[in-house]
Amino acid sequence: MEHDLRLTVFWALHLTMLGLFVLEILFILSVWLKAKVPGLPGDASRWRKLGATISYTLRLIFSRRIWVLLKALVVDGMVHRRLYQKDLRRWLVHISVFGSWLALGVISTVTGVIVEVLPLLGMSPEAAASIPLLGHLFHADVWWVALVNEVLGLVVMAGMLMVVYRRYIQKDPQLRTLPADTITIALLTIIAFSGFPAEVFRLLSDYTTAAGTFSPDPTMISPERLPPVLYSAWGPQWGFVGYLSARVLGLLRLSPGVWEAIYNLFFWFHFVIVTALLYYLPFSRFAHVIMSPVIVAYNTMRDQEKHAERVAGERGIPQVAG
Amino acid sequence: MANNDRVDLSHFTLRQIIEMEACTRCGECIETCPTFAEARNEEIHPLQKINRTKSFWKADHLGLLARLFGIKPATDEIWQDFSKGVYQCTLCGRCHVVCPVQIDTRPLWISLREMLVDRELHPETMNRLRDTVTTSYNISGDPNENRLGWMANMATPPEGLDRRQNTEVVYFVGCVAAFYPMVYSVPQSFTALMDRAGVDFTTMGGEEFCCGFPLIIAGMGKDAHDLMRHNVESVRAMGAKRLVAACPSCYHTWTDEYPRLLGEPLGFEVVHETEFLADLIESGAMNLKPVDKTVTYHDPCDLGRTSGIYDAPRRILEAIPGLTFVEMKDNREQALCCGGGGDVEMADAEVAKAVGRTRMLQAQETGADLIITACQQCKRTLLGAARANKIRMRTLDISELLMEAIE
Repeated sequence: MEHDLRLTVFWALHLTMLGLFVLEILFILSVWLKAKVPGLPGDASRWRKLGATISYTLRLIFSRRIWVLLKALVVDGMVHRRLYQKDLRRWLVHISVFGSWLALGVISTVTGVIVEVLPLLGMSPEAAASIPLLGHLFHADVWWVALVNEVLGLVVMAGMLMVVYRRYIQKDPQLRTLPADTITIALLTIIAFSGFPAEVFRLLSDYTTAAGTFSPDPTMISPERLPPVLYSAWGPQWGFVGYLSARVLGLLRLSPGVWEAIYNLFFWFHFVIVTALLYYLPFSRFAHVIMSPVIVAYNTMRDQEKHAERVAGERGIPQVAG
Repeated sequence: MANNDRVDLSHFTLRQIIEMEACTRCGECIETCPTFAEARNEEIHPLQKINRTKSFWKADHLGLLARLFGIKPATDEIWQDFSKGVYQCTLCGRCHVVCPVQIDTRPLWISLREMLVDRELHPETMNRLRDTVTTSYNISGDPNENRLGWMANMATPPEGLDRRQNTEVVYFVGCVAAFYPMVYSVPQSFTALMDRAGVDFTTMGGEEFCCGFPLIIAGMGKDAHDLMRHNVESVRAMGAKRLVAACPSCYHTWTDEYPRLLGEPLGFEVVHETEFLADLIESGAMNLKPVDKTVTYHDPCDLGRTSGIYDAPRRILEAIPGLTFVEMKDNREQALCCGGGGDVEMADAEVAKAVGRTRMLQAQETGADLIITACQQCKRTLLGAARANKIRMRTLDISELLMEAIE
């Protein structure tokens, strides 16, 4: 019951914060729309500019150009081909941070849908957990879910260490570090490193007996949280670093209540830092995570089109949103 | 607009605002910026310019929210430093090539200049440029009727050079070639080549106005509209089918800016000297004799990175028998600027000279006898750099080299 209360409070706070974040973004977008939109007169209203932009975007999506755009989005926006060609070491650092965050984000989102949304739509936990493959995401202690989360978490931590090393110890001459960069990197590093202890204390909270022994067994978790259909795939030991850490800390033989209190502390700490980063996003270099894949895909497509136009000897009038 | 007014975001397109947010601050652009390499002024490099601009508009438009996240309004001193950096940029576009996000930097830097002009924070020399161009219709301030002054010492100038009607081609000479004696040899060679090849051509004579490029890149594009309209109407009235420009900046302005301003096609084709000459050679209109020399080629920024023309000049060089062509270390998309772009000569002549020196040293490293270019402004800047630094290497426009090769 206590656990449910924590989740209820979490979702209430989380949704409120997300709502405020959406307002922040809408405010910033309204300022962006003071800029020119090609094809419209300079004094056009912001609604008109928004309409023209949406219309242009939809026309782009439902045209043959979308395939060029999608290819550029994957190759240049996600895989970062240019960085790979330029510097393999830097590409590895970037992809380990960006790729792992992206993968963890996707897993968390799908998990949220399966654990929180499907039951709201009337699906029982047992049924949700029975969905082929994706149902396994219902619980973090399914062996491959634990393994994937573990590996991605380790890669993110290694990536953040390399970021810190390159920027603050090696001091690469091409980098310029502003206070805003330091705040962003600090928040990201804290998030990466606080995830592990949170996981360790969750394991201790879930699998410590009343006598204080860490003795993992799927039946120790309520069927609402870990439906029996997942017992055959249960395997928290695949999250090897977290699991071993829990084993070692379990030797302290503290009561499950103490572990749960510590877990709650880390859970809320993690939540506060993630929320802080979210609000800071539009004012930090972190905004590029969202903007740069879109822009690199669009600009690459435009460059290719310009090149093709030139080769074909056709020099027409630039299109809207140029 | 006074400097304490809010930044007017209408100087930027929505795409540019998003591009600035998409900057990853990776710093790739810093070491590739030719003027930063010489001046080491932190305000020059693209990363800083983008960062400053974002701070300016966020502080002005996001109010308390911006303060909450540590963004404060800029002081007058910061604005002045920013302006100096923005006008020290040669607009070479090398930053776009190395940017992993492919930010379209060159138009962005021009938008920054428009913002600075709006806030009256641009260099005073730009006001003089505007006054000169809008009253004399050229960048030198000489009487515009003297546009064909370069013909004066030609042994046998081609006939019908001054505004002949209904020719196949109109040659748009450009202000630098028309008014700077140091590069008179460019229009002289080019017209002689066309004459020898039997091309039916003329020029606009005194009706040729500055194409508007110097004003556009100064951030004063609105003041160029009348010049641009005049030029288009004049060429249309002459009934020519093609316009050839030897100046890459004029070529870019005609091909990209004019149709944008008019909102309709020009009604005639625009080609650059190099494309035109390469076609003439390949069609057999010119017979070339061997030239026993080693040359290297300097890609003008507005011809290469801005307009995407890299192959045409190389096709010409390869067509000259006996000629040995060697590339410089930085060529094509990666080519260094000569220092002559972006009106930097007017804002900070020392930086422009230093950039030119670096390019000439790179040319010297190739061991070539000649450095060839396809831009009179590049030729002028590189010649100046060679003389100032005692670099014994001739600088020629590609048309001048062809004159040496033509039988």
